[in-house]
Amino acid sequence: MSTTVDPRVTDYLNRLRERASVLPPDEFEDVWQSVHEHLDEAAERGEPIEQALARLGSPEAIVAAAAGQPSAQPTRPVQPQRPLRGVDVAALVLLQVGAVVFGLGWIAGVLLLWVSDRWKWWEKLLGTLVVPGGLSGLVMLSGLFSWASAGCSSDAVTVAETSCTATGSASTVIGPIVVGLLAAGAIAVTVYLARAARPGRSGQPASGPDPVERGA
Amino acid sequence: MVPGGSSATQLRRGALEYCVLGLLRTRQRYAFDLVRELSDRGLVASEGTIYPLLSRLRRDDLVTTTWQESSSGPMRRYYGLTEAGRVRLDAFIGQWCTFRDAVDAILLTEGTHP
Repeated sequence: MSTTVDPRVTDYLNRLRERASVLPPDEFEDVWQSVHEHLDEAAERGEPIEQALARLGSPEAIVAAAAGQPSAQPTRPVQPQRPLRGVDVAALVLLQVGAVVFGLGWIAGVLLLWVSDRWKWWEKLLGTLVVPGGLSGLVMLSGLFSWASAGCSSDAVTVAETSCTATGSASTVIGPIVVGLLAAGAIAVTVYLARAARPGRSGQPASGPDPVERGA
Repeated sequence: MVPGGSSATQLRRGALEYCVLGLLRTRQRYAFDLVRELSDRGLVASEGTIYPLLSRLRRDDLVTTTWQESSSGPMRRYYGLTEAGRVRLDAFIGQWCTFRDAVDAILLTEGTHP
């Protein structure tokens, strides 16, 4: 997993993005994405970064090679491929803050997440389960916590005062910690999903037309 | 590494795309492995320059790409040969053999008998 990207790789990819902006958008995306995947694979195999970059050659050489290729056939337009489209960003945002709209926004976020081809199935599961309701759900939950502990201390004077005080004080300590941990988990998952997003990660189709062109 | 010199570069430029098609003749290949194979055989100086070629071959319908699950890490992009790619490759093989024999006949035979 390439969650920690070497700054040299980031720098290289940025330079390639800059230089390759002169290419037609579809070709640019295709080449940039491929080089990105290549570097991910090299890292995955434990190859030294400087060696992988040296073997790739300079971004300028890649762009020059692209410019030397005959131009794309105009009859086959290709959708520009961004790692995250607007709809994918909407999915991630709704998952975190959508619950304020009676929980419906979160459900919409889940639907968008599962419809998108940017993630693998287990990543979608992760986004759904960590944390249901998202950050806004947690805010409401923590509100519920404090309300419950306040209600407990005032109402339960007559009934089992000791046990109530015990649970009350426990919830005031443990509650915020649990909520904090869940919030950190939710943020971490969102950041991970945003970085892992890539066209065609859902894996379909196994044959037939290029998945890169789905939805064209 | 790759032998230098502009004549080698010129030769590679013409033959590289057919070497790509040739490597895909019997099976699909993972993009990274395909690029590494061409590089290790000295057919390309900078591995990154193969990706624009692959992009063009795909646009021209000579190769297809598919995404396949890997045991670890993200989805992998595989390249395969299309029917049009196969036809193009077979046509080139015929031309190449004729060309190679003609060059050999002059460079090797003539060279050894001055």
